[in-house]
Amino acid sequence: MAATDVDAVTIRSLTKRYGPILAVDDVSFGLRPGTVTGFLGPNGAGKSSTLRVLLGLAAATAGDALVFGQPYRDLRAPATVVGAVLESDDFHPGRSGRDHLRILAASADCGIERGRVEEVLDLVGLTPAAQQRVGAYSQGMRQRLGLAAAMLGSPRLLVLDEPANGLDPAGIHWLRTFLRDFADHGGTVLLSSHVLSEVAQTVDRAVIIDHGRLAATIRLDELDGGPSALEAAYLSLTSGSVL
Amino acid sequence: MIAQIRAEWLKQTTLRTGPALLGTMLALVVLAVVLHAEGLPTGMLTPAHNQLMVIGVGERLGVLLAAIYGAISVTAEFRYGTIRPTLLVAPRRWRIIAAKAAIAVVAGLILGLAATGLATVLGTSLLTARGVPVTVTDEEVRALIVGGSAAAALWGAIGAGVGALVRNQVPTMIGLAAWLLFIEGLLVEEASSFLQFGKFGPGAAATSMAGMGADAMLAPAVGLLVLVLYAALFTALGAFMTERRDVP
Repeated sequence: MAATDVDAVTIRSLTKRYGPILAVDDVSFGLRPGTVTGFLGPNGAGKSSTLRVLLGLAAATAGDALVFGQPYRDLRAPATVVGAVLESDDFHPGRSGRDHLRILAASADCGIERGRVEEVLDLVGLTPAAQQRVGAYSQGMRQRLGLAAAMLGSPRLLVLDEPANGLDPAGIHWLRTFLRDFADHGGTVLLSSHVLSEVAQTVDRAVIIDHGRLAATIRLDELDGGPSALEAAYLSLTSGSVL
Repeated sequence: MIAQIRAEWLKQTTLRTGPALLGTMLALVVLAVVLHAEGLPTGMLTPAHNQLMVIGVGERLGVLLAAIYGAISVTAEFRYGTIRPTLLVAPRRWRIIAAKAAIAVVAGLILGLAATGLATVLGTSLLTARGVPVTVTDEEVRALIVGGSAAAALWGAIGAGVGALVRNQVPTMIGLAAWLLFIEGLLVEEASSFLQFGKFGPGAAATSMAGMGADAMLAPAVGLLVLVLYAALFTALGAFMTERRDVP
């Protein structure tokens, strides 16, 4: 089956329970390749739980979460299919940015060459700081290093959890351009956020969840009024919990 | 699997944790050997058994630091969150734990050799300088260095396995140190009725391997077999639980 026939992401009746807490409750949605989708909801709505199950870090209580039709943990060379950033600070502070990437390149075991590490460092503008320890990086530099790691295997899908957290306006602008460019080259993006203004201008579509349940799926080109209409829809759908 | 071992090796060689642990261990060896070899009366230092106890500190410190090394190699990934990117590019989790255990075996061997070697050289030199005849035999010294280093290597894997089970760094360290420094000591006290099963403990097995077991302890070869089983068991348990549990 060609990749274009399969959704980049398939979430089907997904439920995730942590003890007594129902984090994700029967959520379903799909992502067509080449689209940028915002995964929106208030803090604690179940966004991160959904992404963790999708990326094979947590097990679903019920339902499916598939990447190009397969469970993540069944992917043979996941780095070439999916690039993901879940937390903005998943680095050892005593290691340099370049070494962090070299390690992941070796671990991915899919023929990522030494030169690719330099390429992704350059892509996110971290070449001058590559030799520094991550402990000395600013929040924005850490976000960029996370993105560089996600790009190592030249993936077709990017999954980013709150990628704009801690970025200054210039950083957010840079991220927006970066993601648009990735999608324009055929890539698919799923990015979560609880701050609507960060993503409203970037996404083609918004999947909104609240209290673990799917609240709405909205295509921005079908929405009269653009970003501001999205904000109105978001606020009415998420039961005022943003207040 | 080879890729994971390579990646784990890179993880260790791009940090200062290994050299820092080695330096700490060597300083502790020097401290312990100097205090004993210089502080005890010469009459007490003459019997071979007591000389073996003085240089045997190398085995105990090698084992302890190897266990800590193995544990840190796993728990640091959870502490700093690098476990997430690690598992995103390599989702077969048991391989990560197995590779960490393998690297910890190598590191444990290096730590064990350094600790037992330094303790032996320093201990015998200090005794000679004080005019105490060296009564410990070459055979005993060889057993201490070979057996003690092999025990440290296996304890590296035990540390990695325990780290994968506990995940949280501080409780892992406290647990390993308390077990090795205190609990096993209680279990193998001479004339204690617990000794009959205490001698099968992983710390007691390590002591037996180094040839420092009294008659009531295991033979070195049996100690080796017992410790290999512990290392395999903890690595397998750590890998199994890592496969099963959600990653935080």
